[in-house]
Amino acid sequence: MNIIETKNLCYSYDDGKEALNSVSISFEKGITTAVLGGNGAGKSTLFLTLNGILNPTSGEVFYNGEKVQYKKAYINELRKKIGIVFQNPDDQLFSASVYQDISFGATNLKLPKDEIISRVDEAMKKVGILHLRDKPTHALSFGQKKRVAVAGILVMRPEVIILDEPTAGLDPMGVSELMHLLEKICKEDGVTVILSTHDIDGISNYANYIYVMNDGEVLTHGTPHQVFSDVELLRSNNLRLPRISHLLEILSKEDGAEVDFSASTISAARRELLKLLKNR
Amino acid sequence: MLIDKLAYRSRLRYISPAVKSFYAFVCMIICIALDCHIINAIVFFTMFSLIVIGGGTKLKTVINIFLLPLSFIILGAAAVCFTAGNTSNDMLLSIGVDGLYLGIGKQSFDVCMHLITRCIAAVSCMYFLTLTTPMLALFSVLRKSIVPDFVVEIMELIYRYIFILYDISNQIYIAQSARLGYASIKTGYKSMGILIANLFARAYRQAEMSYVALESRGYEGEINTIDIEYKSSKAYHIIGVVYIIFIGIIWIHCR
Repeated sequence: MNIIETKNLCYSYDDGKEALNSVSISFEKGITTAVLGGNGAGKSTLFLTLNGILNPTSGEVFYNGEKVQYKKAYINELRKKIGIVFQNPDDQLFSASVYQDISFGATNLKLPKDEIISRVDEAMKKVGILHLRDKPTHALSFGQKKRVAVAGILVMRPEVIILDEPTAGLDPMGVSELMHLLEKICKEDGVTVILSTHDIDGISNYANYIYVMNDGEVLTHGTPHQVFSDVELLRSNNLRLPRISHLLEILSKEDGAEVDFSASTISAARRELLKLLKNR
Repeated sequence: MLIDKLAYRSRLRYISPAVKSFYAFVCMIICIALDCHIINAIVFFTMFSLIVIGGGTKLKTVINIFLLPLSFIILGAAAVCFTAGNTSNDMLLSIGVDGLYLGIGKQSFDVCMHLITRCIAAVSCMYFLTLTTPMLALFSVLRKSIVPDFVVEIMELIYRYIFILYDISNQIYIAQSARLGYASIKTGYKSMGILIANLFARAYRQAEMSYVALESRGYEGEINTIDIEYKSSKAYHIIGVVYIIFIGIIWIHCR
């Protein structure tokens, strides 16, 4: 079932720049979907229309099969179900207190105080930031701020969590920790995760489904395997294969080895290489 | 920025900010109102040792922080010292020119000394508060006080964004000086102008982004969060009251 669907979504900014051009995307419930694309591909704009921050010029958005109305009351309800984690945590964290910042979303849901407190504790525990509780926001590192931002969304218990470039600016450890966290949220809590990224090498590890965007349009979509099969399409649009697939591609094309180069994770590539070794 | 960091590191930060600010203000008012050298000295040493021994802030840092206002206080008070008169009788030190005497008067010297000790004692009370109580804790006191909520809200936002904009200005400054933007006085002024202009633009963008982010978390015109609870204990009040009584007794003896 698709939790969010867009049909022929268009958005152009005030200066006439077309950021989205007839985008039709379906986000399946309960899985992690990644939107892959370079800078200026329209990923952020897409996300802002899904959450009702931007009002699309034309086209429709459906939430759980119901057409989204861009009216204040409707959008406010929608935002309780769709949480956005912004790329720069400093844009999102408005409070100097970590604890108070996280509690903000839950307070806006008008929950009883006990419920808010338990939700805040739970979110902090899940994200692994209980030790940052009494720290001021400005004393945190970038990665820590990112976690606080995620916790600030989790307290609202959204059905969908949208992350704009969640891995940008994080160190390798930070990336893998955040991705494990998102996997946990997706699997254990059944939250639908939608994220944008240009991390081609890592994407197959965490995304169940990929949409590739360029210049405000959807180029292709499918499972990682399907997406990375069409090398020509990717290359002609300033994208590339993951490094590991590239290696397999060279082995296949230059050295005549029989490998499937759409294998884009270490484990998939390993399987291909083992197959190759056995056939010798 | 330094004081902010020190406050978060202080061991006394978890003590109820309401209690700390109440007694800090009471002590400050006592110092100003009673204007007694001994009491000023007692309050100063109490506050100083509370910061250093109680809070665990480094002695050297605290001395440096105290030296900052001290220079202002001494310079300001020195001006009070000097008087002019027809005789040099009531002067400690004077120069006479044609029957007019300029110098340090006995009485004005006394006033000057009172001014200095009073200022230092009062400053030490405020330093005790700022060096042991993070701004966040003070905000929670202000929220419960008569200050309107929206004022505290604005204060909180300003406090947060000072750090963001400070970081941004720092980055711009580094980027400019890396390209010799501050190599001479002339280019320095020019670069500084560009920096300020850019900072305004960035602040505007930041405000827009923050508004978008707040909206997506259900902001409807009011910033509501859970207040941080601080543990207040009767023991602190007992200590505080005993201390004030102690000061009162000394004052009666001094008179």
